[in-house]
Amino acid sequence: MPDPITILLTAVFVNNFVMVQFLGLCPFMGASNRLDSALGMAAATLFVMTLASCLSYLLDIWFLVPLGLEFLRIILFIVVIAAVVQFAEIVMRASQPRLHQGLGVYVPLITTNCAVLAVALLNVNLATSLLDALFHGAGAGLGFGLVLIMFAAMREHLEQADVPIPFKGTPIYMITAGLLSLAFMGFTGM
Amino acid sequence: MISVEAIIATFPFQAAMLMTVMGLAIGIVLHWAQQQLQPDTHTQVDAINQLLPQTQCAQCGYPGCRPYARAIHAGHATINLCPPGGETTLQQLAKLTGQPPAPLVSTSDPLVRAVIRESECIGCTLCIEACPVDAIVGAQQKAHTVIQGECTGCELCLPPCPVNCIDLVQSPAAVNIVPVAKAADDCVRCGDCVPACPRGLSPVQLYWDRSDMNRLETLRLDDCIECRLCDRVCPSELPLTNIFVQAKEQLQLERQRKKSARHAESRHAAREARLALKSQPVTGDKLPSPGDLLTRARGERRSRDNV
Repeated sequence: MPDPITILLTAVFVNNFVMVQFLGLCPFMGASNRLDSALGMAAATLFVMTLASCLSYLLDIWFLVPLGLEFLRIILFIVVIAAVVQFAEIVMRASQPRLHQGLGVYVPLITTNCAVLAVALLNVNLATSLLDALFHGAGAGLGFGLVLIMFAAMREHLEQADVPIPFKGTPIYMITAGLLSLAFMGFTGM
Repeated sequence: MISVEAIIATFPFQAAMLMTVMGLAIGIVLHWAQQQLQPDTHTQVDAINQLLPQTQCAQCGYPGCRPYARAIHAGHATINLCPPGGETTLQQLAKLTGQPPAPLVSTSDPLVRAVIRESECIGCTLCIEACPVDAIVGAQQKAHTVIQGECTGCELCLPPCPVNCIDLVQSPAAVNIVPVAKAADDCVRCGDCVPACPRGLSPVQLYWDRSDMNRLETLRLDDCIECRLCDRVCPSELPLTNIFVQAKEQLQLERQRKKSARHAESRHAAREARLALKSQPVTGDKLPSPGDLLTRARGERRSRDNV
């Protein structure tokens, strides 16, 4: 089994959740129109992913596997993720009212970010210890944040670029995301 | 027919138990977190208060800007009661509180100042008592005058004056306002001006965001040296530098307004402290210093907010 650092780096670059595994594309497209909101979203997602990864891993090895209830994984993991997101929102509203105001509806929407659920489900096969789960979750969150911020920066530049009319808006974002994805494919085999 | 026994035998009790227990545990934890991590009332009132113009004019029906901020936070007041703040303040408040921006109840011009026609003043001191920021000086039977720099234009001194000798005049700051010229939106976002700028600014972004003061600050409008190189490369021949010069003036004015708002607020606090002292009988042999009074007033304010 690879060591935690390898798991972290793999999740960030080689198996990047957005660019290589194509998970969490909705917030990737939705929350990347401004660099500052992308930063906030990246931080919130990193927090939720790391915490949800650890908690769902513990839930899995303490309750689901011993009781033979593996079929409940998806439902219970979703419940855990929703709880962590709620918790994150409460914390954020108390400590960073301005940021909370700025992110608006995107914080509750982390619940429906499939990349978060994917981390929890992939842990079942990948993680052999809590440390693995922690690093896997953090790596996935960092990878998501990395491409989100990169893409937001590119979009801010695209705003100024002279894009042909048929490509304006979503089409050019899709093409850009595709090229970014190709670049990340280059990490495969490292 | 499926028998009841068969249903009971196949019912996943463990799964049901686990889900119930988990649901309960999560519910309790979240409820506890919600209770514990209430946002600090004082910070929130502060945030609202900072958006208000600090004229202390009481046109909202509350005795000053901070009491109004407290009422907004408590949900007693709507956000459209501040005439001096105008549309700008309304929009900012709507953004912060999440309340929909209702139309303003009335409007007034925050850029007026009160001036006393001293030849007609009878020295009654009624306006001095009315001024929320102690901007009027004078004594019994002596002509009063308004400290122009301190006046917030709240108009509270007008009704008490028995001889109507107070005028409202446009403040010097208001005269300087030049609305940013509405150039035809000819910018094609070609970006040619970006490499042309010797200060590394992005004139195209400055141009498109020219009415958003926060954005202009982020884009370092202050660094513009008005060299006019962007004018030269612009294929649409936009008067970029002229637009930036005007935007700079507005930015300066905005900053000045914020600064004087802070100043008016502290004067209002000092006045409250003075009035509080007046209403208390003097007990000790030593009068508290103005600094002590301010500290005490701030403490009272904080405890009032947190009620």
